[in-house]
Amino acid sequence: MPSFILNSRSVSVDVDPETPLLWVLREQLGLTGTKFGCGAGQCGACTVHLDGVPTRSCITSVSGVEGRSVTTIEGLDHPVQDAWIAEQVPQCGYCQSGQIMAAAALLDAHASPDDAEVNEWMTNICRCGTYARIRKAIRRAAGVRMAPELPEPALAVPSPTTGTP
Amino acid sequence: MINLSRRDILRSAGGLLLGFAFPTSPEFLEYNPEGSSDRGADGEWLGAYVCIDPHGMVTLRVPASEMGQGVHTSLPMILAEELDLDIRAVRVEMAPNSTAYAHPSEVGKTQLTAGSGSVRGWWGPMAIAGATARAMLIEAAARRWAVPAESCTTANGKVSCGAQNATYGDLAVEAAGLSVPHATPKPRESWKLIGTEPQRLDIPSKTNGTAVFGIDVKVPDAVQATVLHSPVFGARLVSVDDTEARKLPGVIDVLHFKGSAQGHTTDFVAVVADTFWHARVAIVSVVAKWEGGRPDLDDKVISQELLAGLDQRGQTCKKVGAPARAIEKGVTYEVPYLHHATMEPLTCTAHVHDQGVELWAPTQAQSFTERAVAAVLGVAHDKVLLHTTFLGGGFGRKSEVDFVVEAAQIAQAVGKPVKVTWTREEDFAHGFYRPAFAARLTGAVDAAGKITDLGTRLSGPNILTRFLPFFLDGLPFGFFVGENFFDLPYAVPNQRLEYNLLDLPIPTGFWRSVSASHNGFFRECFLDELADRAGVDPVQFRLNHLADSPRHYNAVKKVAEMADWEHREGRFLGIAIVESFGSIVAEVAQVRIEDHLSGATPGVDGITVHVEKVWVAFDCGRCIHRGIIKAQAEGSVGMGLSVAFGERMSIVGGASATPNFYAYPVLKLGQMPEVEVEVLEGAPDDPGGVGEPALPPIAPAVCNAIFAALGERIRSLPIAGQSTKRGKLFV
Repeated sequence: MPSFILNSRSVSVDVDPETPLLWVLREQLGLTGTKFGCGAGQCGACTVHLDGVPTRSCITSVSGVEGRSVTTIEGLDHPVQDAWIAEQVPQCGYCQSGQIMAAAALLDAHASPDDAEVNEWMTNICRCGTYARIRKAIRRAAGVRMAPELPEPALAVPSPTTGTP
Repeated sequence: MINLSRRDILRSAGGLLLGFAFPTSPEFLEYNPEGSSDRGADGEWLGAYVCIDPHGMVTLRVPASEMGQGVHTSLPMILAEELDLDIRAVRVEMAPNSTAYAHPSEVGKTQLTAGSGSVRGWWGPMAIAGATARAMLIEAAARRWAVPAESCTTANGKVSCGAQNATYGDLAVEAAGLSVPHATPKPRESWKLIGTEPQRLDIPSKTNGTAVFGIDVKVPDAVQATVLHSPVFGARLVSVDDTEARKLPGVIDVLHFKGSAQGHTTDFVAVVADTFWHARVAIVSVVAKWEGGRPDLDDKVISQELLAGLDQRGQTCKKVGAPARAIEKGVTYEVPYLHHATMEPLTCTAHVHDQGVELWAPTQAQSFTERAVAAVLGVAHDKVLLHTTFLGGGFGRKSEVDFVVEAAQIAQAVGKPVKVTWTREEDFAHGFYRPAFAARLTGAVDAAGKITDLGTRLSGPNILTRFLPFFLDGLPFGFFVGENFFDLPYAVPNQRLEYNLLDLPIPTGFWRSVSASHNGFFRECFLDELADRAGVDPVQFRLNHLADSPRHYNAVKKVAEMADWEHREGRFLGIAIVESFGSIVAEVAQVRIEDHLSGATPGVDGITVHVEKVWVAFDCGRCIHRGIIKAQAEGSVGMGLSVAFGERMSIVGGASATPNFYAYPVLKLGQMPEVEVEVLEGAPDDPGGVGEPALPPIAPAVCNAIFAALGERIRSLPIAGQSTKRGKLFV
């Protein structure tokens, strides 16, 4: 039975180890804040933190998180969420859990990201087009934190794809 | 329809609806500013929108679906204004399906969120409803204190008269017992809330994972399902072999259904299982055979058929003066099928039991859905209770009934609550796409630089043929499919508009901004071609033809000022203006062109178009919340730019060949320009729509800017991949 740390508590789930983490979170564990958008790792709506690293849970099997620490939007308490409200970012809101998880991880890795870093890191799709406000909210949260530069994370971060035809 | 008295109409909605003989459902769309969920409001209803409980908690009921356009804040603001309530202290609730919540337009008693029409339609009735509820509360207080009603005032949920005051909660029971007065809404000068920009009430729940979308609904004892339709459009289901699928873990049943007689659904297969994941794995093992449709259809054939429609005379939709005949010899514009690609795939939870049908869906179309479910299941329509959740995007896809009817049919077969969730692949493969469309345009300009003749021939599917088959017989429809040409704002003495209908089995439907999404592109690009031919600056050229359209004139002037058009040396700008859904939006786009270096081949292999900034002048007449309007403008620019840059549905073998986002590049954050919006309150007594109008102008503005930069015209979309003298275009 796969077991892992979820939002700081231990969980064990009776499920096929190849089940995507996304569906274990939503179905067996009842946490619906992490969203299903594509099932193919393309859109980022399913983004969670795996040992602090933003990870697309729809293409991560639950066996892959055995013994590790998973944080979902329900377990996040981060200044970027206040910035999201201050900048009135969400429209329909469906992609926003994933956007916030990605943005929180960005700010935890780079306290003051420049525009190029934000563009590279934030590849989650938003159909409503809230991107301009996402940028503003990240800048705002970065300004508020004013923390000393944090060390680079030990694990590799996913490399983004740029838009090409 | 029972003939209800005015009192009944105002009071009954709450009473009748709360009196449904159903087990109370645990999931009812609602939220309050604190973000918790609970049941529908309990208290005294003063009309169809206002409920006050004994503790004074006021619930405002919204008839429109919240899909990101902010109506669950803007519409409550109208009621809160009239009732002098603090918008942060109210509870907002989505209305169930009822003719009491029909959209107040001429189009029948239909509850529908579409056409950028929610604030436009409900403003008046809600203002009256709010004023009426306030008058009843005042009357209750006035009677209690034996004072004249005119001496009472309201503020912060209380009625006062001199030293006396009472809360709305305290007065609600007495107020509800009074006869319904005539009341007039506040004059504009008295507005305290409307015109301010309070934070959207639903945003906190959308930043912490608590907002409940259709896909998140949990009903006790529900099973899960997913569905499969014919890959080839228009094909029928011939056989299903579910032997392997039934062996897989968690599978409860495999069902198949014939498309409904009324055309609400096509043939489909459903796998029912204990979890969505099990259903999703199992459906891949179902062997379904389909027959029919048009397997000969592919992108090339579609394009050929579209263009063939431009070579023949079409039905004349509009003729002004003595236009020239030769439209065949004009320039050709073409755009592809587009998918809505709502971030929330289609989903619906349904429960059919002996008392009726209970549905939870992210729907825009409560009335159409109720009627379709009633018809297909053979139940009375007042036995259908539809809870509308938050929508993870709508854009017109969720005003279709198919995904809800299918869920109801599956629930009827299974006898338990069922949540149906579509895979993204099914969602892409079974859309109601924005039609592929083409235009041929001709024009003449005189020596003074004025357009003397404009000829337009349009070719493509008409989305209305599905609802109104007589369109196939060629009844006049220029006002719909010829939008932006039929109602040309430019002064042109000779005009001809023709249309050739292309009938294909590929389903089409309402896609954000509908016909304006293609006609705005065709028209505003071609207008720039005429400006160039006349040797006149594109902004000045438009102004020269808009003397009789003052709102258009002002929007063009305004956006040109915002972009500093007059001093644009070294910058590449393009302008476009399109009117749709009662609003007029002018946009200027600024592009930058850079060499594109690919790792694959050494050196430069093309050029990248960057859209650096977009200025938007948005005339929507009356405004409630400028912040929400600006957000809609930014979002529309993002979606329209996404389309301009890279979106197209590909058809191969009569089926969608675009399975998921890797084949359908939606705009990413790194490609989003800075957007500056000014909201012009053009004609205050003539409110215009907000959700769609800022989408049509962006594609032509960008293509006109590309012309400024490269001297070459883009006459088809998407931009990515097209060839220019400087190489292939990247985005």
